[in-house]
Amino acid sequence: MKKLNLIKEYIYMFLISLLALLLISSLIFKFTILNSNYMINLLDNNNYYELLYNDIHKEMVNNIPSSGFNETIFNNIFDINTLKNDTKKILINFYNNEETNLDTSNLKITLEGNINSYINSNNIIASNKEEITNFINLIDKIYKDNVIPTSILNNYKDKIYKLNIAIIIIIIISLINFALVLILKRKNIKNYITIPLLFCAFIYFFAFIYIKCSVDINNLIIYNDSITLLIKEIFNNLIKYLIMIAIICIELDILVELIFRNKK
Amino acid sequence: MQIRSERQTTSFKSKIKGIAERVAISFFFATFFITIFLMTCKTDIDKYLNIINIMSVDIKKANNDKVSIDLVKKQIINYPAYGTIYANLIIPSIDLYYPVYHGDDLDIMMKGIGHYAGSFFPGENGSILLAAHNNVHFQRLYDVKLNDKIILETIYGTFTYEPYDFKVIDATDEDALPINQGEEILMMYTCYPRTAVGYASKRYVVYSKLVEANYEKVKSN
Repeated sequence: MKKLNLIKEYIYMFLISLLALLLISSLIFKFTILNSNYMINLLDNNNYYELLYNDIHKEMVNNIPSSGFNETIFNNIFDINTLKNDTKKILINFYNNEETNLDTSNLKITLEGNINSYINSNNIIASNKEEITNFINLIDKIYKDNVIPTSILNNYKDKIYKLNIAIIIIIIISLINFALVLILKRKNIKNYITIPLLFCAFIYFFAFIYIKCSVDINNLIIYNDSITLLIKEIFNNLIKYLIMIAIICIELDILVELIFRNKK
Repeated sequence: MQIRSERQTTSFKSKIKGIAERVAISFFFATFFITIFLMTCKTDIDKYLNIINIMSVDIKKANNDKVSIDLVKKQIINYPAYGTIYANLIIPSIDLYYPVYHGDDLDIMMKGIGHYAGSFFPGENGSILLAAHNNVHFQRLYDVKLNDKIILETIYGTFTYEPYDFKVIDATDEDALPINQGEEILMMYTCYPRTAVGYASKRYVVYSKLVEANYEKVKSN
């Protein structure tokens, strides 16, 4: 009977440890990639917008050889400030589960004006107006697809919203269980605090080592330079948080040991 | 005094024992959890790690030294890396001599002729699709005639083709550029007309068939 109670005790301790791991992991995601301010700060603190501007401009220029125009048609159709404002607007709408659409009417109007000006000043005969309209739409699409790939965002919007709800539920369940532990397991409270903390520390430390050894993040290339930079920064930050939280868990464990050292 | 000292030593030992017990239990829980997690999710983890590592390409290290061809199976061994030069296209009648890249994105077409990655390679007895801009590398494609020689000098052999048909097609007409195996057809295409302005809705295609294949190793430029 005593052994059975001991086994039940350990099983409950294991479940509390799992809950602690789930809670800390949820909070990491909640305050990083599920947080619009974190993402906006990440973009502001690296030269993301400059890289994005270069990526978009380069992709637009790649369409010049087949168009019969030259690069001057892209003068003043967009700038880094426009990019910043559009990106922030899209991100905030995305995290608020709202429609993520860009208004690029200024870009199209300016581009059309530049094209007409180029045609007139170079005495070009543009017999097929539809081909010029198609070209303008192509450039517009390049801008929209690069600022934030809205088609991908719209697919993930619902999932992010549901994930946020799941995290809130996890927090509530965790708080209820920790309160139950405080009330029912007062005699053994030291074990119920230190063991989950050490458990989380071991798990995060293992995850840090495993990811560092398995993933070649430095040579990663996804889509273009700006997206690659963003993904690398998020990845490196998450890995940093893993080891930081492992260390914090160990420090908290030591603190608890010191607090309870004179108590039986 | 001695009794008090003994009590203190015993108390210290039991505290260390308690700490060691808690560390051991946490370590056991952690290894148990990691084992179960890896047993249930290893396939998915490996899949995602492979995807990430495939995207981690050190482009400077990419080289095509091991590209070769199995003459019996008519299949390339070690395909050229995407974005690298694997051949030169030579059309003496129109003074054309340009590198051919594996891939046909716009970055590549700014540098040379693009080989559509979904088509076959020379020597594989299938359709080969090459594209380039009409005011850069394929400026004189419209001047190619029947019986002209078209030479693809690859890193594993030299292939000679002769044009047999020329067509103007819609840009979206995929049926006019079929990718088949069984007969080696080289299709080179570019925007049409020559003086197109904006986004050209037509393409000019030169269809050629293989007339000679020479498999001695050729050094690429």
